[in-house]
Amino acid sequence: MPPLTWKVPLAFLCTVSTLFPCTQEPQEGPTFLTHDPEVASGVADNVQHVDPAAGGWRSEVLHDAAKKGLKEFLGWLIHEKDLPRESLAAGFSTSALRPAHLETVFHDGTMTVLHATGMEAQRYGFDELDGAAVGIRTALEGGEVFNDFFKYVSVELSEGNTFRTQFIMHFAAGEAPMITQVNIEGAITWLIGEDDEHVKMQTLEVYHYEELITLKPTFEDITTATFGDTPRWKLQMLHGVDQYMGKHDRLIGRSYIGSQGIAVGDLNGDGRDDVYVPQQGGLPNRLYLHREDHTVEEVSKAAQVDFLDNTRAVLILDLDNDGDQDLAMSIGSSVLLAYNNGNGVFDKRKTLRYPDITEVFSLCAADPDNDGDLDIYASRYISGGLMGGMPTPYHDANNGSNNIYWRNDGEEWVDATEESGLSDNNHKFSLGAIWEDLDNDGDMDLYVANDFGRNNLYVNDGSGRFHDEGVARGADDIGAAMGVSVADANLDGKMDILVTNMFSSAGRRIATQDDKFMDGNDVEVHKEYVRHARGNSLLLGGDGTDFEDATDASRIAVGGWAWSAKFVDFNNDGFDDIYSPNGFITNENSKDL
Amino acid sequence: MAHLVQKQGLSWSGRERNRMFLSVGGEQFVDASSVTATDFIEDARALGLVDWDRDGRVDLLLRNRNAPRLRLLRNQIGGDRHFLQLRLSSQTHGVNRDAIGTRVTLEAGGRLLTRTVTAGDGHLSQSSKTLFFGLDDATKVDKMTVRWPNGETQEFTDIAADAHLALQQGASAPTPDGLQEVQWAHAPQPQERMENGDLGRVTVITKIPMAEFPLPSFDDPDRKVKDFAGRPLLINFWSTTCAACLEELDAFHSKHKKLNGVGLQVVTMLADGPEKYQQAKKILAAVNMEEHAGVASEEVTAGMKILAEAVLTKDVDMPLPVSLLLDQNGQLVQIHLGAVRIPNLLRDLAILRRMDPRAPSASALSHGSRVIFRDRDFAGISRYFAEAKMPELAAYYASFIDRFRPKSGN
Repeated sequence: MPPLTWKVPLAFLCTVSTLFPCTQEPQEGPTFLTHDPEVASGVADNVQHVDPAAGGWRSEVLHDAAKKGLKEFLGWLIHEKDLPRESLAAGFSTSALRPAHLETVFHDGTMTVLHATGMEAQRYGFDELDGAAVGIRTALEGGEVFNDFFKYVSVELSEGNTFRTQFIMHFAAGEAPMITQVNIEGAITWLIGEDDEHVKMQTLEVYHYEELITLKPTFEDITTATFGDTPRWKLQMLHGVDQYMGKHDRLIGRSYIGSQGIAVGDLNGDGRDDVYVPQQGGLPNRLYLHREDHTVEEVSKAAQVDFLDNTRAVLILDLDNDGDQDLAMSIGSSVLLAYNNGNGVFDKRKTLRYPDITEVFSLCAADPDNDGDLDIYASRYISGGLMGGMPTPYHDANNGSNNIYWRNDGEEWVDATEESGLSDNNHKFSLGAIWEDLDNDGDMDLYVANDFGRNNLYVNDGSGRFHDEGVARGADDIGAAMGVSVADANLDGKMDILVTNMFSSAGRRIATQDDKFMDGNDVEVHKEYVRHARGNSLLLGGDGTDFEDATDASRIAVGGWAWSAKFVDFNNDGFDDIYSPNGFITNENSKDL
Repeated sequence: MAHLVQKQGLSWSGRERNRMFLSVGGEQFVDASSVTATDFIEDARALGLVDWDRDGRVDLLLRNRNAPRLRLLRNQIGGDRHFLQLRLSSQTHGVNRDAIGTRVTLEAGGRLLTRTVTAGDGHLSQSSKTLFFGLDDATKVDKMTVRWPNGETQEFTDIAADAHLALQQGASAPTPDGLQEVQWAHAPQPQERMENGDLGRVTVITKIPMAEFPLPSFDDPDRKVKDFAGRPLLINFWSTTCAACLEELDAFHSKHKKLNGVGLQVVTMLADGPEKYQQAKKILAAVNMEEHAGVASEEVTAGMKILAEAVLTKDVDMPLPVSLLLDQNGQLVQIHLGAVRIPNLLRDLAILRRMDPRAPSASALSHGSRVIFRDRDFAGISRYFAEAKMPELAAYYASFIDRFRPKSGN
């Protein structure tokens, strides 16, 4: 079966034809309609210089061999597979895989967390391996292991014929609601054999171990029961983006990356939160009203908001202070405002259009100038449309598009970016932003999450004038940011910032090779590349006005290629937890770049 | 790299499982993705927080790139802990009605809990504007301080926990929001992904006039689309060597009464060369479809390619069979990629009958409407016909340039 792109199903239908061939070479020359695929194309090509497959990196060859070796070891540990003596180096030894002394760090009626940190002295050789494993196997109670996962976070080369890797791994066993999950961080030294593709595990150390046990139900997927009876639910929500690629009019905008968001709010004023779901070009946006029994009714047509245009972000809010909830949404290069007539029909509209073709991503609203109405900040990404200028320099790009601060002046909306000072450092690849009082002085500040570089912390001077103090206050968090969330995580009365970033194992490995990465030049810049791939960041608001990067101690970095991580106190214990939704592009072909 | 992902179908950081980090004391976290059953494998994009079933626990609403596109995750954790939910509003002059920007601080159980009303955070996401507070063991809030956007501050004391409260700026106390509680009482059902399949009906969002487009028959080289004006028309391209095409002809034949009954005319266009004409005529005679049959001359094929590229994409693959649906005014409204499914066609014709033929958009066929109207680039289409040495069609399409001035609304 050929790989699944939008073109293949069409070709697959074709049996024999000479005049209408299955494939045609792409045409040269100008296109007459240019509203075309999404960001990935450009961005992806630019990321090539951290593509692990490129460039003949020795560390990457060793990484692949070590990956195979650890997979084999895990096969033995948790999947009852054989582990031949010769797959390990002579004199192999390991610490206990589950430390003997675990401390209970969290316990409630639902969940228990045991933890150990630091290494134990006792070593186990090949003949005592079962002794090293017995603790984990007992903890898993012989249950079938699922969702096992490991990533190397470093590959450290040395002069001799050994190298060291550090890993992070998770696996779980049991049946809901009784599940045990194990998280391990550790290091392995490897002995290099006949060539770099043949390596044997020499020592293994577990230096951080966590074990979680649940006894009661946690989260349950109620989507089908809630939404499943609405019209065309299956066609629209149970197919992925790729099903519709190439199957709608190009005038409407495409979305291969699937940059469609979600908005929750009480659109009909009955006290229950409703949901507006923006959709990829060609599928109508959905408005689901929340019924008393917690199922929904789909009313987008009657409400006149069943737009087929490619829609990304949506806000539900009262834009005109008339007491009902209106809608703002990013469609292509515009921000569309749709005003509620008071009866749930959004037939009065206004389009905020900046005079270029740059596409709008996230939206956030507040009243930073305290004039009593809500203004909108529109984050934009690649300048000059989605095929526009690539980030330069990659790790600290300042050639992205300008974001726009749309000020609500009643009937008129004004681009007040310049006037407000938000034009400061405003050429980033922005994917998300939030209005919050980040310095706790009573006015709305703005934090902007930028891909390929530094984030902005625009501090409000109280009059609606801003200055970017991201770097000065230690909040720039150079990296690959996709979004931002704010809460007081440590309950000290100061707001803390969670930046959604990309965690890339490959990026972390490669950029740590100082003699090789960027041909050994600009070693200081390497650190910024490493940061770029570090993952989610936690910035704690300090005693002064500065932020402190608490990411490493917090252990929240490895959240995957994350998009919209948020603080959420899911267990009502007063401390905000963090949920990190992630994943970039899953295709049928599981070979991953 | 993008090429590999999009054209060869490779994954790129795909199949990553969402991560949930449990806070242990505020600055340290433990990965709890599997024990909370939140480690879903889809390419997630956005997250909304909402207490959907109003049981005091925050539920998660995920938006994904691949199927299932939505996941609403009902939280059953921590039901033995206490909570307070607060929805704020304002009617005060100089303050927005949604009270966005209001900072609320609770003192409860010896802790200080702080939240702000916001609109829009994360990536492409907006959560509920209701503030969710987890009170742990505290059964009451000792003190609640509300700092409104205009700086005005209100304080309240001794508020009982486990309540959904509403507070308007200036009110003497927060009050229960008054909603009747209905417990969640639906059996959970799994979400089943649909297999990708042939859903190749493309709505031509901004219609394309085709009256002057050539439809040569075996005998009449000058026949045009306009000769079929007044009723909807399906132009079907087929080949004698295409099995799916032959099955499709059978289907047209067996349903011809129904199709005729709804006023549809079907014109088949043979995509094979003259050496197949005899064979094609026999096949058409067998299904009683020789009357309107035509041949896809080089001109027709070149014209099809230009129109298909205007609607689909530049390097379009044109499969067989393929069919064009035109309205009674000879305007292209839909392209069927692959065999036409008659029940779908009949449904679409019913929608077409209800559509205003003068409306520029055929968006109703996609069960939606357009809000940012963009006219077709008829200048480009005209230029392509000129380059393909079809001056009459070049002139025809040039006549539609600036047909509609760009405007908002449908």
